[in-house]
Amino acid sequence: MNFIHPVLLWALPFALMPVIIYYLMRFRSLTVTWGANYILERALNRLRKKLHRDQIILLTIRTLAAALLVVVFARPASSAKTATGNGVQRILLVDGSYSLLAGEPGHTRWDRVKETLQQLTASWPRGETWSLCLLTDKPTWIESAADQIAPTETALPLARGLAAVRERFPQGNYELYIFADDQATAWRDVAGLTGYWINPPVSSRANAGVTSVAFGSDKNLVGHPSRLLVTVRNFSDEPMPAVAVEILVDGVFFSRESVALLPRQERQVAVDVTFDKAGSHAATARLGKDALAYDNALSAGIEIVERLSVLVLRDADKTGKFDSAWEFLQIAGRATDGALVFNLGDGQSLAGADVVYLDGGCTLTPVLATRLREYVTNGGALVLAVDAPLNAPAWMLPAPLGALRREPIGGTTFQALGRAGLPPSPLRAFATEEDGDLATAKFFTWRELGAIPDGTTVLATFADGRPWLVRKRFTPGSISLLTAGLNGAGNNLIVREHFIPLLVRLFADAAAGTIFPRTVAGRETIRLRLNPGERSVTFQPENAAPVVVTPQKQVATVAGGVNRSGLCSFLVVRDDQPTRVWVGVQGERVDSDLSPLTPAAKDQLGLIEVADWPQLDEALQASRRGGDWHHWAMIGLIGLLIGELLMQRRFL
Amino acid sequence: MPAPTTIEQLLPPSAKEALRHLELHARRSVDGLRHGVHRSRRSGVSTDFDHHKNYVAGDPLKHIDWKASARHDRFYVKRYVEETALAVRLVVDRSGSMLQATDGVSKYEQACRLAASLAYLVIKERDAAGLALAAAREIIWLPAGASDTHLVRILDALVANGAGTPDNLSACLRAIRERAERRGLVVVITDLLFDPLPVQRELGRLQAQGHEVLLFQVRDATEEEFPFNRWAQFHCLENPAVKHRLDTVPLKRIYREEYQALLADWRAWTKQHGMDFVSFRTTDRVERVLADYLADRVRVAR
Repeated sequence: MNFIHPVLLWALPFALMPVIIYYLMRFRSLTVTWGANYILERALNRLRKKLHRDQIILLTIRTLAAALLVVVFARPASSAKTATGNGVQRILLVDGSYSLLAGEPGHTRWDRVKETLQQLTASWPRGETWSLCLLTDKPTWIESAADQIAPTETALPLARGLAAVRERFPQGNYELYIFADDQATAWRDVAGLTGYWINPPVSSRANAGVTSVAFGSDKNLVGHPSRLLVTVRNFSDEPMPAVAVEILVDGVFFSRESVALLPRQERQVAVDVTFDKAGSHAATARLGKDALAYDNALSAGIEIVERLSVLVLRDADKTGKFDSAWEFLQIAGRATDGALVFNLGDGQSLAGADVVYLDGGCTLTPVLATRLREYVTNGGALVLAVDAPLNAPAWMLPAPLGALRREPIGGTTFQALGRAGLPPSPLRAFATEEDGDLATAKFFTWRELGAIPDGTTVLATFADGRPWLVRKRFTPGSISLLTAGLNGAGNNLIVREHFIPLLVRLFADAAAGTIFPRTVAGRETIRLRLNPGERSVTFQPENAAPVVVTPQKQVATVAGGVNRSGLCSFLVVRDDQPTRVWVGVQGERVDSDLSPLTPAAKDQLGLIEVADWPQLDEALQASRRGGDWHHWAMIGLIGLLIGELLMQRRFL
Repeated sequence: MPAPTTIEQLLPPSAKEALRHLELHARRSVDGLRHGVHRSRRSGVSTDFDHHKNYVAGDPLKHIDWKASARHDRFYVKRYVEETALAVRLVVDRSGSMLQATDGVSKYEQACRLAASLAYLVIKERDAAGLALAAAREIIWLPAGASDTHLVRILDALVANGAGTPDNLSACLRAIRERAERRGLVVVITDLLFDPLPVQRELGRLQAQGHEVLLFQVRDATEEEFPFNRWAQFHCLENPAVKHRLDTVPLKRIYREEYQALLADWRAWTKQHGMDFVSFRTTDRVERVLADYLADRVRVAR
């Protein structure tokens, strides 16, 4: 049996009051001198046995009535309907996803959940046992400091949480309290539960979020525009006519864009940011206030350098279109005002080159191949052009080579030049009518590629979808492969100002392989490495000891990466001065869809849904009222009172 | 009503005045020594003809009924019923239970008042009144007398002797019976709170001896109503060693039933044996009780 107000049971000793009163009255009896002793004794003889028995019965009735009165006030409830106490485990499942942060600051669902949680646990008597499980991506049983739990950037795996409960309490003798919102995505594959669902209400479910922010490349040149692509998604079923996207660069307002989003629509906003200072920079895109604040901002980092040195490997005896290619690159280098510096080399020394460009104009000897391998392993960027025979070993090729084709291809815009894991990033220079001949660029000699293997990213394609530029990143280093080379012979490319961004982008992106990525996915394992000229790199993960890379320990790994979207930074100490390198962490927006369960789906859950503590308290009491014990106790009490009256009536 | 400490308080002039016009006549024939107004079983000098008897030598000639003798041709002598004085024996219960008092008036005090009034009433009519105060160890006994000084002696005895002993009424009645006094009226004033059988046996024997028995019961309101609603410790007035600690609530009904049963038993018994039974409360005025009773007695006698 359970009691709604068990603290009142402390009054049970008062049930002995009739006995105490009995003896008190007996002790304080009236003294009477009595003449009619004969009558008294006659009456006593007639009553003596019955009197003793009646006294015992009366005392028993009164004691039981008093005890029952206490029990009635304590509100007994049948344990069948409310499985609490008596060895029944109370289990609190708390949704630890960020969707609980929906609502006004200070009045979020999480605030209400915590408030209700505290009131619920406070309502239980001391000594009651209960278990708290925080539902993050991996259900976590909270052993202590339950008041310090906080949501994490995760989706609610309720089904997994329930599985964890079943695993921990296989006997099934528990009472469930689920503190979670009504996200339809979270309740997938869950039905037929018994317990209470604390679902704090939310005033609005209109939620938009920034799903990605990315620079076209992690590395770029000073003075050259870096394309920042901001992807915004409407997670709700309501249209959002004007979503304001605010761009901040290095923490300073840069621009504001307005986007209209249809329900569930995702759109991109592109902004060109030109940095006039070398170093590590960061950009943040953020939205205005909506139902859920946590998904309204994302950041990305970029490394800006003064110039990029491209070493073009060339054999002296290779002429013809290769001369054309060299001239083409030189013209391009001049067009970048010296930001791209092209040098000729025979492969004897690769030191100092940010990028090594290798095409058919250089014979790839085994020695050179070994040097290149060492170069790439040390973080170098190698760009291959394979529109001429190149005896490249397999490790060097991001994708298997196919047949060399001598027929026109292209004629329209390149489709994409982005990076793995991020949305495509079309180059504006190739995308508009004003781009002229670049829009109709054709390649007459090009190579087919085989199936693109895992780990290789297609960065740019021809109009028909065949890859033009693919890249494989190593840790560190990268190898980029052009299916058609950069020259004035095998294509109709002309070095014009529209072509410069592509060229800068190509080499800057290739050179980005030498640095740590400035944008990482949430919880992506981070591998740190000491580059030449750096004395140490320090990274402080959240709630963990700092990870330091020193000359003694050249490489370090941060397993699990960073579990919260935002900006993080590395402290890099060079010979001259320490600098902070900004890295944008972009977790997956797995918890932004606030669409509620349908009423039918709620019914299938079988839970008693309440919004806050008063409702939960009422539901608990209503549930306990459902038991028959209270009524039986009342009937018992009334029966005892009637018995008392009947007993008294016998004496009158 | 203050407790009487003197004979004037026991029988005040107001009581005498109230009793002045009352008379107590014996219902049965009595056997007194002195001439009186009450019918006797003996033949003697009086105006009430009883029967004729044959003349025998030695009978006074003045008693010959000459008319009857002439009619029957033989001598008949007239016999007359003798009228004699009534001897009333007042028996007052002196047991401890008579000390039970309500509103300051005990049963014994009222019994004494009643006895005094009866004595006054009897002696006023030149009948004789005696007194027996029934107690356990001794019976205070005053023989019947008809003088005013005897009345004073009776009153003195009543004032001087209080109650407070164990019950011994049956012994007192037995003593009266064993004295084999002349037939008269035995008035017993008691509360009847004792085992009735011995007393009833003695009363029956007294009646069989020819005495008229008159039973007055004095009731105390508290004893009768048992007005308690809590635990009480009852100290017995007759035997201090006897104590009862009781919850009076469950006892009340039974007690009252027992009380009324005892009363009914006495009523039935006295009726069955042709005795008068008068029950009154200590709050009643004894003159009124006596007047009512005597009125009833006259009415029944007619």
